[in-house]
Amino acid sequence: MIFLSKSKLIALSIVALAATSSVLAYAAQDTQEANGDKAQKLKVKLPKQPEVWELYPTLDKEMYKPDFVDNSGLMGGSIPEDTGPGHMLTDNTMVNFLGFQGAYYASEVTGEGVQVIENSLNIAESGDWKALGLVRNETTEVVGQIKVEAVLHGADGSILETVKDKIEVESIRPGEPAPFELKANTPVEQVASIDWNITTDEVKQQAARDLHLKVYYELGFGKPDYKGQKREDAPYPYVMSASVNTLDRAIKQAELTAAWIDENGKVLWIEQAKLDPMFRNGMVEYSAAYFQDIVVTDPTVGPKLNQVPYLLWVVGRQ
Amino acid sequence: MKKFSSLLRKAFVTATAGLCLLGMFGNTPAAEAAKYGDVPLTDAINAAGSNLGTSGLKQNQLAAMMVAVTWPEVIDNSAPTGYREYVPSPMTVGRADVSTANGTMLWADGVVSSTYKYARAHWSAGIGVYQLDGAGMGANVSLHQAVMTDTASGVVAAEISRLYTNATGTAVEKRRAAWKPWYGCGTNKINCENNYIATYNATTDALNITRDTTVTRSGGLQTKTCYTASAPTATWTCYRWDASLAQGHKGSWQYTPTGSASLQPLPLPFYTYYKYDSAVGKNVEYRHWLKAETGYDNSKWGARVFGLNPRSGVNWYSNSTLLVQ
Repeated sequence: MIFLSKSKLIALSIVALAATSSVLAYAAQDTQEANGDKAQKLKVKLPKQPEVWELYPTLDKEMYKPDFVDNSGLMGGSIPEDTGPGHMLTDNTMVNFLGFQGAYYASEVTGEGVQVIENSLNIAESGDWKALGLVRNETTEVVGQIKVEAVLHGADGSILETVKDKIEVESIRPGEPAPFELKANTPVEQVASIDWNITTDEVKQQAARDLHLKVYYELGFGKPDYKGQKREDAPYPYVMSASVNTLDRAIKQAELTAAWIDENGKVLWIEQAKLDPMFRNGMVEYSAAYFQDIVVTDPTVGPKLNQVPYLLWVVGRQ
Repeated sequence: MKKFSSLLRKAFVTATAGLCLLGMFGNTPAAEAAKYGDVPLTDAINAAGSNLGTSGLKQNQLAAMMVAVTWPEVIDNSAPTGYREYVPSPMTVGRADVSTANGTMLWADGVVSSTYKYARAHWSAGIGVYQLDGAGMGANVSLHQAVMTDTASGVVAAEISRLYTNATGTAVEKRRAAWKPWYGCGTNKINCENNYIATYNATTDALNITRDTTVTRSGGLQTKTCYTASAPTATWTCYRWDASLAQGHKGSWQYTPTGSASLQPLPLPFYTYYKYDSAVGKNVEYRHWLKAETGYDNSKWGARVFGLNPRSGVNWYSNSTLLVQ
């Protein structure tokens, strides 16, 4: 599928609505605070990246501790200054937090609800209108379920079609992105402008996000072997094998969401996977399981997926 | 790495199954047993003992499941008499990551070319006998912890035990689940199952593995003391990785050192450590290629924040000021 470049997006307007009481109230408060200084953003508490001995409490912490603790900038300038607490994450900063891996996580938010990340938008260049992209929770509270709606307008301003998507990732934390995919029956060339409406439900039962993600391996599309091991899944689709570790909370089910982004930061593809049926009994505290392999056979996008970064989310249900 | 042809593999599997039957009756000649580093095997057994949990596994049984992954991961399967006779090298670095993933940042300055002037200042993603990978089980450990068989075994024992415990099905199916992280275990994990059967006697709960005392816990990784000229009294432990000092089998990963279109370069000697950087609140792993040892005109160095896939997460720099006592 071919997608529009950012420059070809015409009259993109974004309307973010916070629909429920708790989020709406908080967003309003945030906006008030933000009104004092338009450039002022609100810092959020970032999720934890656990130490290896926190993931595996059977390990002897002393054996895994750092070779030294650098309080004085020895070998300073060694990593980007935007990767730690007190430093602002940019859209390009890769992070690995509990429940999330990848880019587009913000350490500061506007306080203005959930918003489309414009740079992530990938809109079809031909055929029927279709969009892949990310929203981000710009509040300082966890939001429950997010619904994204695109109102497609013609050149005369009339509404051509309205399409909606429910984002599968739940309990989206402050500053966290989440992926969506929208498909319309309207030819893309007829669409002159888009209004984005985003609604959120309050958190009814907060999903477990304090889960650790790992990718075991990615198998390249069309590649007959992986690290010298011959594959037996001809014609060799793209495959991602990923796993999850629980910490101090048991879960009954977990779902992985993956989004791949191209070199310009636009969402290329989105996939979901449930836990492998081997783990149908769920996961106890401090346990491990893996997801059903993500397999992509699409000959256009498949070859790209192991060449570009991915964003991963995991949501557990108790 | 080169691998067995399927025909050779079948012949090998048949032969080892026969040896296994002999082993069950205690008649396996020592020369036909699998070989493994002495302390590395002890480390695997000890780690297994600390991670049995509620798996129902026995200590030696879990240890056999652990070491079963090492031969297909790091030994050249084209060895004529069976790869279990070759002792896995703790200093092994993966070489076949080319075009398997978004790996540009494994290469110095992000230049993916074996002819680049600093090509052998190369950040290898898969490390050690278990090939702990920075995208997976190696994400939150440093290189030396992936090399040292005590620390590497701890992580592997914990993950294998957890997967086995959580999985449903028969014992064979649960073992397959436990080996999921290692693609080298093959379809239906047959390579690892064969190694497990060949090295573990379930009747006597004994390991059928010959210990090689020439392969140590570090596998040849040297412990050093590092500092910088600006603060010469502030020293810390660092480690020197030098392929020429590696113990164990090297034929599977020490060839064509400059690499090729399908093979990553073999790194030149480098120094590595990890620190907690209080300025950014992160653990950071470093690898420094000093020009005095590489012959390059610049001391290249790379840094990876723990948790990040090195294929996209290594930052590269020039003019390292690292000094070594």
